[in-house]
Amino acid sequence: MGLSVKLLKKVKGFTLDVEWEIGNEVAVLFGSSGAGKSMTLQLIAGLMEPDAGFIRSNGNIFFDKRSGINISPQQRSLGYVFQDRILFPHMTVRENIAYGLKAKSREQRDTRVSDMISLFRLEGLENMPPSEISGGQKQRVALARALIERPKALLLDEPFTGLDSSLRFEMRKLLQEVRNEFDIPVVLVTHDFEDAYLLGNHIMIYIDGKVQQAGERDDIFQKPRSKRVAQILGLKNIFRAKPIKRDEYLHRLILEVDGLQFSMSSDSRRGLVEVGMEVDLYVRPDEIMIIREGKPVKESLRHNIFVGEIVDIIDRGRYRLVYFQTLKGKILFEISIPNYAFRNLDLSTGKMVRIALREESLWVMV
Amino acid sequence: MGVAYLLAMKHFRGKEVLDIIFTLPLVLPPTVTGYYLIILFGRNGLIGRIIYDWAGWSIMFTWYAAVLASFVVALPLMIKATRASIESVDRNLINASYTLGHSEFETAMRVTLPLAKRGIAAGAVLSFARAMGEFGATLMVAGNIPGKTDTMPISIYSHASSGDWSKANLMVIFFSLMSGLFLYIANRFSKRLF
Repeated sequence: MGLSVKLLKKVKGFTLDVEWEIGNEVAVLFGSSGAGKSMTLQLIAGLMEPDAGFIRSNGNIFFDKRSGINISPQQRSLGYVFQDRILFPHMTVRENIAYGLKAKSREQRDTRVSDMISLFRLEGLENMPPSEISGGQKQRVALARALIERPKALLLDEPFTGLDSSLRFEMRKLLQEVRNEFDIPVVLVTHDFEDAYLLGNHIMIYIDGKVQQAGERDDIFQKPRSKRVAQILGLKNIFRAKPIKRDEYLHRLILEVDGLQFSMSSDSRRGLVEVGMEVDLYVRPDEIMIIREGKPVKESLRHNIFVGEIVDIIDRGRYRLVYFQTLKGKILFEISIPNYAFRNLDLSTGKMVRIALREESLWVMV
Repeated sequence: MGVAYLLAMKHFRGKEVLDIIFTLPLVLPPTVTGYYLIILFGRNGLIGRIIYDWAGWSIMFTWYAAVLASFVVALPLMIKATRASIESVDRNLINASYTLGHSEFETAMRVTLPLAKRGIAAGAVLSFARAMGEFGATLMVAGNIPGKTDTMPISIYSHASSGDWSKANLMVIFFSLMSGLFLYIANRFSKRLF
C-alpha cells in the first residue's frame, strides 16, 4: 500500500536518514530549506541514488540496496512536479502535456491530451507558450503533464510557493480532485506552514535530514514532540518550565515559569515528566479564554487563572491576536480569539483582564 | 556536438584533460597546432602512416589538409560555446523529461539541444569565422601551392609579400565584404531563433 521508503544519503556536510510509510493519501514533508525534503523527492524519483535503503510503492520495488535493484527514473513512472512549475519553454501547453505520454497511436494521444486539458480546465490555452500563461495555469499544466501517464505516485516540490492565497485555495481543491481521480500516494514538499496545515492529512517534520515527528496533522500541531518542532511549525507561547510538585491525590502536576505556577493533569505525559527536570511548556493560543468580568468562571477553568494587562491587539481579519502580559512574572501570551468573542469582550490596549487556560491548552515537551 | 554534450552532462575521469586537449588549439600559436597536425597526419605521422599504408596517399599539401587545419583550429570555439549553452539548460527540465519516461538520447534531441540551439548557433558562427580567417596552421600542413592549397588569407599574404598590391587590395576588399555579409546573415539568423 502507498509508498514506503528508507533512505540514507550522505553528501558534503549533510546526511539524510529517513524512514517512513504512507498510504494513498497526501503526505506533507515540512521543514525549513536544506532539511533534505527535495532530496527525498529526487531519491524517490531516481534522479539521485541512495547510499542505502529501499523505495517501494504499491508492490513495486524501485530501489533496494541489498538486492541491488535500482530502476531508472524513466521506468519508475512517477509524476514529478518540480519547483517553480517549470515547463518546457520551447513547447506549447498542448505539447508540454503530450510530452508526458509514451508513444501511442496519434488518436489515442489526442484523446488523452484533450481529456487532461479539460480535467485541468486548460481549454483555450492549448497553443500558448508557457511564458504567456499565469502561475496558476502553469501549475495546472505541470500537473497534467505529470499525471497523463497515470503514475504510481505523485511528487510535488513546493507546488504553491509564489501563488497568491486565492490561487492556493483553488489549487487545494484541484489537489483534492486529483486525489479522487487518481488513487495514488501524493508526497508534497513545502516550507510554508499554512500549506502544510491546509494540504496534509499526514505531516512529516524534517529537521537536519531526519524526520523529527510524523503523524496526523492535528496531532502534530497540538502535540509537538520537541521545542524545535514547535518552532518550525511557528507555534507561539513556548516557555521554559520546571515541574515542582506532583499531587497524586488530585492528579495535578504543578509547573513553574518565572515564579508563575501552572497546573495540569498529571496523567498526561506520565512517566515522561519528573519533578526537578526542565521542560518546555506550550500553551495553545486558541485555547486561552479571556474572562468576562461579572461572569462566573467554570469549575474546570479554575486551575490556571492569571491577572494581567493587554499590551497589543492585532487584527488578522478572520480573528484577532491579543497580546497579554501577566502581572506576576511578566509572561507574554499570544491569544487568538474569534471576532465575535472579541466584540463581546470590549478589549483595548492597556486594559487589565483575567485569563483562564483550558485544560487542553497545556502541552509539555521534553 | 557529441563531445560538448559529454563534457557538459557527464562526470568522468579525465574529463578536464579532454577539455584541455580540445581547447589547446585556441591558445597555441597556429604554427604549433600545424606542427602537431604534421606529426599526426604527416606521411610518417601516427595517423598519417596508417592512411598512407592503406591508401597510398597523404593528406599533406592537399586542400583536404587546409580543411583539416581550419577544422581543428575552429573546433574549440564550437565546443566551448556548445558546452556552455548545454550547461545553461535548467537541470530540472532535463530531470523532468527523465521522470516523464524519456531516455537520455530522446531528452537530448527534444529538450536539451533545442534549448541550447542559440548557443550552438553562436558557436557555429564563431568557428566558421575563425576557420575563414585561418592562416598559420593551414600554411604548415597545406603549404602554399598556387591554385591548389592557397586559401584566401594565404594568397593575400603572398601577393602582398611579392609586391602585387593591386591583386592584394582586390582580395582584401572582397574578403572583408564577404565576412561582413556573412556576419550580418548570421546575426539575423540567430535573432530569429528566439
